[in-house]
Amino acid sequence: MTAGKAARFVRAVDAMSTVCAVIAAACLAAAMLIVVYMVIWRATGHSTFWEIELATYLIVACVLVGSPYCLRTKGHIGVDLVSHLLAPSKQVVLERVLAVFGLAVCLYLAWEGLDLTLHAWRSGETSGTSWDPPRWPFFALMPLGLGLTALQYVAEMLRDKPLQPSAISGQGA
Amino acid sequence: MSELQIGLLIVVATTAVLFSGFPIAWGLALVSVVFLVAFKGPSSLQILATQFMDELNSFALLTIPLFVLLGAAIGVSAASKDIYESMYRWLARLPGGLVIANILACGVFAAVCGSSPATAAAIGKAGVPEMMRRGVPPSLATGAICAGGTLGILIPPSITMILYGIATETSIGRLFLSGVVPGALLVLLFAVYAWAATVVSNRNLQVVEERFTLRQKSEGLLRVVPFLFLLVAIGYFMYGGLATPSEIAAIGAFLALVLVIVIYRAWRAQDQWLIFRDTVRESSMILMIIAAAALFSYMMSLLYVSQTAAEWLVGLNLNRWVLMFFINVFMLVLGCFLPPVAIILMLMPILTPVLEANNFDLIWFAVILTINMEVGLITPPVGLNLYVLRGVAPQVSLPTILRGSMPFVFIMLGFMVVLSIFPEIATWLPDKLMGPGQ
Repeated sequence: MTAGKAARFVRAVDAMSTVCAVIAAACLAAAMLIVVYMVIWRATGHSTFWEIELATYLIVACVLVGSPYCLRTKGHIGVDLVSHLLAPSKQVVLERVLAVFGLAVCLYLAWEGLDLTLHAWRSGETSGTSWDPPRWPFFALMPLGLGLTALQYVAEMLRDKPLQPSAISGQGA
Repeated sequence: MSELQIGLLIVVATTAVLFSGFPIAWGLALVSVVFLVAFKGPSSLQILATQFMDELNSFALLTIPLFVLLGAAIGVSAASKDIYESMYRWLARLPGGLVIANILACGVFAAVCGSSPATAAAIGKAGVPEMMRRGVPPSLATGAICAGGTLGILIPPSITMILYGIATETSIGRLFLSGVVPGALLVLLFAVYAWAATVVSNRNLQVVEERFTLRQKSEGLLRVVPFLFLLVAIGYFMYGGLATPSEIAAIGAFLALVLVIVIYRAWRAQDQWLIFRDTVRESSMILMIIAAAALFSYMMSLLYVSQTAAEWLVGLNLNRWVLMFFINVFMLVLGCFLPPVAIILMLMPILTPVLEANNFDLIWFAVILTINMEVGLITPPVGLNLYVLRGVAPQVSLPTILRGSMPFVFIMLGFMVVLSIFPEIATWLPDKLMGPGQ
């Protein structure tokens, strides 16, 4: 791949991550509103049945679809002790090696998730609750989110200058 | 290989993988997969994806993104500055008044935020420059915010307590309540120290003494009223048993967003994007670790390592306080390197049966563990609060911040001893409001 093509690819993946983050934010807002609605609805004497399941689905969608954005903005915390002790040139090498491993882990988990999703789709498995939606859309979040994270890892490897860690907003529990 | 030998091998491998700087979530997944394949064969990986997704498929986990959202909403607005400014107007005459105001503000902010670095960032970004401008020594200014920020995970809501509740299957409402009195006492101890440190060093002589009229004082209070309202609303729903923690988190986040939109005019898409962007990023990081930690504990339990390690610890027949001492030392060491989420999820499956066998109250231990984790947040090399402080006050060197926060660390360690002698400090309030524990 030429340098120009690589740069275009990195830009495209970065844009995709941002779109993912917007979708994830929308899922989060929707989950919040559903739960608030549920509390009010229940308090006025109605019964609820799909709200908890849908809100949970949206939150899982939020964190999995938000995962590539988290990677791009260096949100996944690690113990970066060793890299501080290395010379800058070796830091880049370490970063590349870790990116290969990260790519492998994400691809593998996405693969397992895809297997699970296809299995649930073929068997027509449902959640078995009173709402009883099919389970495959829930499982599909795993190959989707981790697959996109793997793609972001490829972009990180092709990036000319590694991004500086963004300003600390870190909560890390 | 015996289970204990496998266990040791897991410790070595996990340490090596995590210390390389590999993201904790992927590191835990990698170690789990490798050990499962090596000791149980590839067929044991069949339900890996199910484990991963089932862990995330929990209504209780909604609390984490929603409480992060609540904290982010308030953190992004100018609310944090208002909180400490209004307190300063009342405390200005006291030696170290500004430092105490900042510590109290951390306590108040902690009551609407479940995370320590977020608390330190919210109060520190306005508080540290202000304190230094008015002549507070840099070490005291940064140390107070470093330590005050840690209250975020002790005073409810607390993401650490939520994780602990999920890992040990204890009531999150009860855990939240158990942090209230210890949190308030720590605020008080921190404030007393700030006062004493200022008096001893006589630094207050350099500070321009400000006086505020009663009108200015009440004006400041008015600005905090909406947050006190939010606080009371959360408390009312939670302890009145009207809603589950997840529901309260949603209501709290919703009210906080309404507050910052109405009062701080953060209604533009750009403002909301900042709040949501940070929340998505943080939540993704925390929940990926949770899902990966589920794979890790599945692996540990399938290889019978957790059970063997727990049996071994029980079988040592140590004096229970000697055991508690070593558990805490071990957690302190881990806390220097790992964030609380990883420690709780990796350790609690092993420790829970050990604590139960030694008649330790799990609610009480949650408070001990939380204070222990707080210490880890302000000790190098991987103290999240230290990074936050370096972000808000880049001109202050790390050794200065450390010197400033060390007295607070000793206060916390001393407080853990007091808690061990008087466990009621933690258990009284939840027992009083929710009836005696299990």
